[in-house]
Amino acid sequence: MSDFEPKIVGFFCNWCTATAADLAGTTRMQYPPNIRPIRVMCSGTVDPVYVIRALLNGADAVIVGGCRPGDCHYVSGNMKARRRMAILKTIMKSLGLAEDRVWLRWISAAEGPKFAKIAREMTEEIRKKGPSEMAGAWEA
Amino acid sequence: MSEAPVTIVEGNSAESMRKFLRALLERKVVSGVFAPCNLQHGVGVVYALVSDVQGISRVNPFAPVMPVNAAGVISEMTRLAPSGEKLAVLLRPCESRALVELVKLKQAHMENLLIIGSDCLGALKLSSLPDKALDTDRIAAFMKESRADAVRDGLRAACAICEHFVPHTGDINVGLFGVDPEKQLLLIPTSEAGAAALAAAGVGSPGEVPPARQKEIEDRRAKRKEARKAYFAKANEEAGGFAKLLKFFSKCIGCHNCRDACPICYCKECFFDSPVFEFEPHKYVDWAKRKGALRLPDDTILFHLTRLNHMVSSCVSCGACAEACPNGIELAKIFPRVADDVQAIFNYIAGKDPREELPLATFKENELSPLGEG
Ligand code: SF4
Ligand code: SF4
Ligand code: FES
Repeated sequence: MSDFEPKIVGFFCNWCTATAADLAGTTRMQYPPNIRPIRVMCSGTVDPVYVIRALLNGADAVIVGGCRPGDCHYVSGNMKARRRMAILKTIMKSLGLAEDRVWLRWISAAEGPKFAKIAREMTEEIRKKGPSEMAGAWEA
Repeated sequence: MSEAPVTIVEGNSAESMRKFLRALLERKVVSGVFAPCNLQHGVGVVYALVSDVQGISRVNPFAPVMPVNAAGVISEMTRLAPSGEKLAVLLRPCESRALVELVKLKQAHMENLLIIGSDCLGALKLSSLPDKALDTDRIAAFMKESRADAVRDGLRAACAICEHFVPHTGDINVGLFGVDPEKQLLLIPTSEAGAAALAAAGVGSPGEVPPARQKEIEDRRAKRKEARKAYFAKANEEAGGFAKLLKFFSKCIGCHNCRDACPICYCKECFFDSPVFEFEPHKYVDWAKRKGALRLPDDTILFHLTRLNHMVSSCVSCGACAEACPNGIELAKIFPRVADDVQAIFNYIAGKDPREELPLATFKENELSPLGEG
């Protein structure tokens, strides 16, 4: 278990979290490389199907990163994302699936340090949890 | 509503109902009646839009049969525009709730529909129906058994755990609880239009809602709450957790009938039928290699989880999905259960209130804390 490296898929809004991730990189902050970032135009574009597909095809966890409430470049995409993620997590909980492997975080473009901190926290937590049972099931 | 209910006494309740519907057509209050009807050349009950007065004799209003969720059909009829002519529409509560959701989803119009919502005694599984026509005695026996919660065989699981057996919306409520439907039919106006239609039909005599009605409804609701809890607890034992969920869907062949039968799944082109799911051959090989094997047709769980995400905040627990599954997967153990949990976080009951916004169409600045924080 000790050499288990979590695979985490990140769906990051172009205007905030994705920029924060770049900032964390360019300012040489230390954070684990476990998150595979996917740039999206807004957290509101993340259909739950992307998250589920990632979880069923190898990801141990998924994080969606969006602009802080009030800062979404498309006015309310992040607020809609929050409802969608609440529904997704409730469905997972209801069915006994590990909803705590799905994270939603608001990280603004300037928050490189916050991005690095969350990347560390998440990697550690998922490492502790171990591999996701949903990740490799060929019959799912 | 201040207008008084109307009581019709004409043989049994089905006869009384036909008398009322006939009057609506004869007096041109409506130009059509949408209702369950006996087939001429078969033994089944199907929905039909009856425009001719003679045809009313085919209407079988209380047969314990729900061939499809009628809201889907009404949506088909009124998606483009409201009906040009006034139509009376006989609906079960889960059908009128689905219709309300479809109106919110901009897939149906309710203007010009006179919604006659019946108290619901449930429906039998289509597969359990006998090969002979359901005669009046058999239907009366079913109604009695269902009133006593004593239907032994064939009741649809979704019906056995339904708490919404009295319509929340509509123009006229056909009251079965609290009265003896063999002796009289109770029509309670629940809107101006309903009261006007009752007056215009001019049948029956002023009646009153018997005090026993509320008590019977409350007792039944309390029992159903318990039954629902118990059924879902059992479902959770059977299908809770990823491994058990896979087992639950082991007979799923990916036919997507559950989606096609669902009144809420309205999309003309489902995401799962779209080119997004057309892949190059090498993709399949890659996936097989990554997991060691690949179940085909693929995406069994992805389909069900995604469908839930897209529609479950509007699921009305009608059980049409379970009826449609060719392999008898007990889908009422999954979709309605998840629907209760999801709708609870928004304090929403699908189809209950036409004025409430769809959970996915709105949001509040401050809600769902601590999601997103930290
Ligand atoms: S998911 Fe099943 S129970 Fe829910 S509305 Fe659709 S058909 Fe009815
Ligand atoms: S109807 Fe049954 S077999 Fe077909 S996709 Fe739905 S659950 Fe699977
Ligand atoms: S633009 Fe960043 S969440 Fe909408």
